[in-house]
Amino acid sequence: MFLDANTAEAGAFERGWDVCVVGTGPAGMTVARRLAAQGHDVALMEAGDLEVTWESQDFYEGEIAGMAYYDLDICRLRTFGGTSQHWGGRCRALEAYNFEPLPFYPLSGWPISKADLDPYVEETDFILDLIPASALPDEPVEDGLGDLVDIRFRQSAPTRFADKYGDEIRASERITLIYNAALVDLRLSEQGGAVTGAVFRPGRPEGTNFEVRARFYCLCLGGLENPRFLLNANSQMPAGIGNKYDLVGRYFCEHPTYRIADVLFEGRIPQSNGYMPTFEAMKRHEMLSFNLLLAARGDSLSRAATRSLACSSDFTQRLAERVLGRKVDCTRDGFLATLEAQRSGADRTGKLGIILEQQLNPDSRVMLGDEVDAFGQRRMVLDWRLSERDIHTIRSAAEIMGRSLAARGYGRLKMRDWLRAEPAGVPQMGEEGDHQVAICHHLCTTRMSADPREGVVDADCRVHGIDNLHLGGSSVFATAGFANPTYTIVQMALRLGDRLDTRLAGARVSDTAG
Amino acid sequence: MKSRRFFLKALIAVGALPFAPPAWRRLRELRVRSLGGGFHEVEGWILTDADLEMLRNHVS
Repeated sequence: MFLDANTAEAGAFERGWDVCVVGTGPAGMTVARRLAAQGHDVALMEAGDLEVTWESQDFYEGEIAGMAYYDLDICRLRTFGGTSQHWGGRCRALEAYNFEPLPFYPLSGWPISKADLDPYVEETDFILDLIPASALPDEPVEDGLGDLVDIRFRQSAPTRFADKYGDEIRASERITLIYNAALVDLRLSEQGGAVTGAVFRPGRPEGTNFEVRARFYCLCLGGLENPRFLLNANSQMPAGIGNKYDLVGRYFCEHPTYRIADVLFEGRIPQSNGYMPTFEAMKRHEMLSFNLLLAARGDSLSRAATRSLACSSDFTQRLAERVLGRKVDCTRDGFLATLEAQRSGADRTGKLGIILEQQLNPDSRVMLGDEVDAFGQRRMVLDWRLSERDIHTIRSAAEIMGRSLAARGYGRLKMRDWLRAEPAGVPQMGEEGDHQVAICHHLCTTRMSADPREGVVDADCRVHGIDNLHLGGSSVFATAGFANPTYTIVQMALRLGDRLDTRLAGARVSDTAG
Repeated sequence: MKSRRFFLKALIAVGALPFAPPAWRRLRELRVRSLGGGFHEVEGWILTDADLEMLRNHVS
């Protein structure tokens, strides 16, 4: 069922639900569908409308402190389906080693393992319209050095969650989608150990707040909005909900993306989706994980394809020859010939890019500014920072790839000057032409940890100290890894749905959870 | 062999950006940082023992 909070009748929300899920991106939609399939009644809340509007996006505006970053209303969509309505579709699960602690990195490791997410692989593949990972296996790089693995990514359609599941939710007897309803507060019990109600504000200017009551609450607002909301929810807890140890919003991670080296090819160019380090290499070099991308410089595939359109049919070839007044040689200009020339390294140079797992930095964070939005919620200030280890990881990655290329006879690599400088200054957004240094991944801002002094949520994504409040999405990632996060977001949402199902079947909500 | 000769010539005297050919008089002054395993870093280049030998022989 769909309900528009702007037009719903008074009293429409007075019934109780089993779970109130806030946010309709991949995390929220997946949790809601999982719970509904298990027979639970779900209030699925969405602040935006069924389509994107500029009025709705305005709520996402904020301030950038620290390193240059995108305008905060650009990466995310405040609408039914969330940011899935414009994501790129690239998918890869986190590596098993991303869940393991590293001896040189105190905050590394998760309170769960990859094995805890493996039961959800098949369902996640189905949700994201993916072929099985077994169809695209990784392979070790045969260079005798043991540092790199040749990896594969999978490509979703990309799945637009509103498009794929909108009809199912509209017809569902278990899920009530309430849109144009922005979460503005959570009511806590007297001792603060449980949520007793969620307060929403309709989108229309004259709207008045209404409350949704459920046994459990699950916030899936996104990697930036989860911490922003918790910090704003200070009507009963001055520092914000879940923020006893001043961790909400801290450890903001992106996936920094840089061109780090140039390559002189000896002959053919290795074909790869990317390379990641082995766990042994990470420990040996005391670096974090990364994805290296090697590409030939010169004609891009799209330009080559466009130029070769004259050879796409007999007619186009004759037309091109008539117009240009010369012969078109499709043995040389045809698409396959152009592709082969590119692969053979006809221009002999290339570039190496990196997508980096950045180290957790407590000073890289989401904070609240002084400006407020139309609903009186303080806007966000994002202060994105890197650490010295991030530079070390990038340098190590360049050296490792340089050795591998030389050992395999592919050529030689030269690190970019900014990487060799002391101290190294990473390129800022916009400095290298239109090259982007970040990719709209917002991670770890309410990170997972068994210790409430190191994380906001526990292994079940339950907020420490609040028995019936859970968080979903990339904000709960304990560390960033290098893989695009959507696949892991969906896996964890399925697992969270199962955890809530277990809790719904059993215990009473405790008001004194500590 | 032909492609190998081309590659070595290119490594020594590349004219395409962003590679800048080192002045001959600077070759002896370049800082060589050993990376172990027969690999070295020279002005950002990751080179092998054989590369260094080739460069030194070319200059001398």
